[in-house]
Amino acid sequence: MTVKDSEIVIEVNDLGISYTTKQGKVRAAEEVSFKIRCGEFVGLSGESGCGKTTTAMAIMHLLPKEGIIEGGEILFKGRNILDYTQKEVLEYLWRDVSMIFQGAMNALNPVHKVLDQMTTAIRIHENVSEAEARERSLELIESVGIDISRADGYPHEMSGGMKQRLMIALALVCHPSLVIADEPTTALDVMVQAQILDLLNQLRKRTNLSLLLITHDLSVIAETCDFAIIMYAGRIAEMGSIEKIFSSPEHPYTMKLISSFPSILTEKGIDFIPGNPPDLINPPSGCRFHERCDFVIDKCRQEIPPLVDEDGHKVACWRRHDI
Amino acid sequence: MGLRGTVAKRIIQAVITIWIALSIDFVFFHLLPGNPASLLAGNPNLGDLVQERIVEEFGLDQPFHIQYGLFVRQFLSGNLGVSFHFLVPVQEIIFSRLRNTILLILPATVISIITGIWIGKKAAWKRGEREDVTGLIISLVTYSIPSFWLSMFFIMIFSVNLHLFPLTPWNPALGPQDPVGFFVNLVTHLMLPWAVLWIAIIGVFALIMRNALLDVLSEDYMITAKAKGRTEEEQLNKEAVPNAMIPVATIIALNLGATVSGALQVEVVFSYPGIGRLLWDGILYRDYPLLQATFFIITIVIVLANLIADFLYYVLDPRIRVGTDIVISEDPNKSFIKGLLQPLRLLLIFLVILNTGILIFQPQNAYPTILITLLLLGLVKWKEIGRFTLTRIKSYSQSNIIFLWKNHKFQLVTHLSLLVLTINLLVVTPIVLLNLYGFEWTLSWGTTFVGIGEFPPSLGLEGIAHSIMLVLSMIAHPMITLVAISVILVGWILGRRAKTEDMLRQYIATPMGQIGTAVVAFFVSLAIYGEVIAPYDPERHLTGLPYRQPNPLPLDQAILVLLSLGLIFLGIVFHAYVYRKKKPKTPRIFNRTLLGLVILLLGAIMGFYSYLEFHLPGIVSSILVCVLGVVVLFRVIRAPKQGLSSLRISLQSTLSISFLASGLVLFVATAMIVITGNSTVYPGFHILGTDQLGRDVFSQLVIGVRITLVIGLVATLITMSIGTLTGLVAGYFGGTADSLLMRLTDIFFVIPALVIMIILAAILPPSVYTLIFVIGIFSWPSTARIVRGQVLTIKERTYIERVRSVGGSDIYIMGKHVLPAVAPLVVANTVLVTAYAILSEVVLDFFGLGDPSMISWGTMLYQAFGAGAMSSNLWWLVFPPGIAVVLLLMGVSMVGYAMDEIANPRLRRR
Repeated sequence: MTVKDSEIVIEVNDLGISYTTKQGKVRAAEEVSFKIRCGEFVGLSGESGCGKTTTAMAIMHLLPKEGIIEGGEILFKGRNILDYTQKEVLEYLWRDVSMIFQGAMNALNPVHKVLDQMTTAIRIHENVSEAEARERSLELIESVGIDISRADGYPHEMSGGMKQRLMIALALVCHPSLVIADEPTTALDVMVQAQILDLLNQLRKRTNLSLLLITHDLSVIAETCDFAIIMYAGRIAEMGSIEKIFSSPEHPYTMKLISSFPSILTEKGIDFIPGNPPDLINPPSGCRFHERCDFVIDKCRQEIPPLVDEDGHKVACWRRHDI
Repeated sequence: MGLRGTVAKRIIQAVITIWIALSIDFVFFHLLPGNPASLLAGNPNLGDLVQERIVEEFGLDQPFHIQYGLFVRQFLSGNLGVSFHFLVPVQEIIFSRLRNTILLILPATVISIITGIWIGKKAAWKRGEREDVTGLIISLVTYSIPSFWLSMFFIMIFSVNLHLFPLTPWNPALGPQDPVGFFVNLVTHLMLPWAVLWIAIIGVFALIMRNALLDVLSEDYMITAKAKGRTEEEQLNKEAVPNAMIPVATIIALNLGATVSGALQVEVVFSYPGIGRLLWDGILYRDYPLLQATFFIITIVIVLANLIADFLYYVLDPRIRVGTDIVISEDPNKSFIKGLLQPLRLLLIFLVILNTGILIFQPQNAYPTILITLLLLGLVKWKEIGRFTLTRIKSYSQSNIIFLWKNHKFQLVTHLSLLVLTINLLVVTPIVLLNLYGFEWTLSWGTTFVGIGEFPPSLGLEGIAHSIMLVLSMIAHPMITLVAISVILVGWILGRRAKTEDMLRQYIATPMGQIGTAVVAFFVSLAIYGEVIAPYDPERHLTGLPYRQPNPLPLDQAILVLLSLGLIFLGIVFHAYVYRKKKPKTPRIFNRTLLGLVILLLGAIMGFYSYLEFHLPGIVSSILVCVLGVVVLFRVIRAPKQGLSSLRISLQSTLSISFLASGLVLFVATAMIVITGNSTVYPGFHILGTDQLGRDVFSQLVIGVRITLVIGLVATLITMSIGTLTGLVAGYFGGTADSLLMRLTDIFFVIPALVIMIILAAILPPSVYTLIFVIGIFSWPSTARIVRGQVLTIKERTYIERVRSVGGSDIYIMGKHVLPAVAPLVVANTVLVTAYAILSEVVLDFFGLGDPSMISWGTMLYQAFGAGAMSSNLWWLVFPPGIAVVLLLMGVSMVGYAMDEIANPRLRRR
């Protein structure tokens, strides 16, 4: 682990989020707790609809109107951001936590030049001159590997990979403590993916930045992160360091997830998980995963397993040691 | 593509548009009975010398094509002909008039655009909240008011009654020597026209901005903006609005035609010396050169305005997408153009164009060329036709029918109706094509189909021929066609019951949908029960003295009416109070029972009065309404009893609904007593007074709704067919077909539709068919655009790929997969187009171009205007028809908008 400072950047405690829909309340996240330390890269993974993006959006204060925070707290450097006033939220966003969006292709405003978008972002939060903001933006653009001459253009003049890198530069422009990257490599081709991952790795080495990386691509997490969180149906199933998660997973879901990943080198058969993720309006009793689990016992069906910490490796499973 | 290419492309398109406008101008005025030279000679106002000069300049004694060349040359060099009425060259009058019109339009449009965009912005940002609802209501109301009526209304209120503004029209010749006085004079005279025009067009701009902004707000970069920590105001003004302005600029430019047509109406009512007044005079005196020139000049102005807007667009959008068609499919469909180039096909296309030309200009003589075309088509495509017929016939095989009977009964009904329809149309086609019965038969077939004629006409044949023709006529009876089409539609809807029901439920849950449906239902019942409700024969002269003021109601009846209105009002207030925050609390069973009872009672009341008058359509529809009420009640009885226990808890809302229901029933009952009773009990009782011929205004109002509805619906049918087909073909085939059709659509967008309608209606003989035809063929461009946009997204879906790989033909895919997918959107758009068609009909009527033998709201207003109702303060001649128009249009557009919110994927909430 490359933790340079054990200062905690963000701490999520017992976070519960639900969406109100016509059919009823969707419990998108329940009892989600984790910490991110300064300089730490954390991967957050799971199937579609398991609450990854919801959690990230809550940290960014970007939940849609239907999303309601049921309970818990999100502490940024010790202060609960859920208690922030409107003004404090505006100051907190992008200066303290910024985000690289899913599908960055459309995340840049098409009618403004990229450079202008970056300078305005700086000038919203810091009282600096236009020229200084420009200079800082240009430095960043160069550091993500884009020629300065291209910076004074519109988003539609860039390729997909360039846009994604510019998006990363835009996210770093105010020197935030934490960056949330929501699927930064999805929908990009493999070569561009490699470039982006390389960029992220460089950032990890050179700066003191923390990153929450949301993706369903486990290999991306293995490549870049120090720590991984696996979510299932709105709850954390397992979390721990990369080594622990990938070499000795203890939750049956994580095992399945890892084994269902195709590998280029070995001739291993691809595994899959039968069935579908549960309906979050009427979640099943007990462990959320029990309907699809191979190791289910009666206790799993009745009681929700707690997230038990053993040596920094947290697993929510009754049969953790039996499997 | 660089700037220069774009500019060149735009200019070329503008030139083509002007050329097409010129050609339309030329062709229209050669449609007139008799040739232009004899028209000239028949005009007693013109001296021989002038006539000779015109004949020479425009080559009126030369062959057609030389005339055309001369015409274009003369017009382009600024010689616009000599006015029959003013007896001077048109160009001498028209430019000063144009200046005045621009003086009227420019300030009003600028203010309108600014305020409209502001309203649209507020509405979109607060979607679904109070601001949005207010903005939408403002837009719909202003959109629904015909500007000529608003002008009359304002003049009567502000000038005649309040004396705030001068009644005399503005005279530009007065007072230029004194600049201050001139300016004051100008402003006092123009204040009202500006205000009317401002109100009349603000709604369009607000709606455009709202929709464009809603699109932008769902984009990803808006989330980025929020995440960046921008304040709400900045998110809206700095990130969203610049993006929304791009489409708004073009759409506003395309809507300038609407602005101009609004201005024309305003000018007419205010006697303002502008182009509109000139148009009015041209129609009044049938001054064709004047009309020709007016249309030409208006088109040029609008085309120029569009060019300016295009450059604006260029400045606004860094992506410089102008002109470059967004390439959707990889394959630009070269085969389409290659296929066109085969000689046989070229011949076919030529014949089709020829046919359309003949059909429009000389429908009586169209059959030989159509027959030749069909024969040729049969020769070229006999294999395909044979295969197609075989597959169709096979679907009626015994096993198929049995299968359908067992599994999909609705589909079976649809299937059989389709067979009936096919046979029916197969008989109709040769009769029409071969002209067996002559043109009259076709005409009366068409009118009966539309619902305003008798069938069959007297055949005038002998013996066997007569009986054969009679049998053919029976098979080809338009009622069969109508019934078959409706059964197919109903079967189609019932076959998709789950989806339709879902959409219907969503629709009826919106307040806009509820109000709109109620209003439309009210007017439809007026149309059905017309004779029952109308106390007098609307066409009978001197039912009372001319210009009688409305009689006040007798005291007892007034109390009853007030009581029922009070109940409704109380119900609404209570309702609004109880429902101010939460969802309804009344048990559904109660609501349903009440609804069933109200429907049943209303049906019974109307049925009773229809029975008294022996009015068959009234009786039939009353029975249908009663059946509907019984069905609703029956479903309540059958449904599981639940929620009865909560009846006490929600006493307030229960009361409010009961008030509403009882008030409604009481109102209808008393209204019927008042209306039908009074004309017999008190002779000469006129609830809304009489007009200049002593006709009962109320009866006219009731009967007038019919023609408006019929013309609106039939013209919409034509419009939707053209628009949907164009959009479908353009979107589906893409490539060359797309760009050709879309350029054509753009051109028709730019050419001011209302002006073209007015001129064409002035040339053709005045009748209902003229109105239907004119409105129907010039209102389609917006539909074509919407449909094309939707088709473009659908045809990229994987399931279309799947059908294609299985071997489905293009026509099959379009009919079976693409069309059903765009159907909800088309339906929603149909309703909006209906509103537009009705508005056009009223305006055309007001210009005196309606059917003189039929009573309609527009004609009522035209006659009131002609009789000087404004200055004599005869409010009962002006207010009722106008208010009826506004209400009907509002109802229709509310229905349309409520449907659009559900059907339009771009507007769906994300």
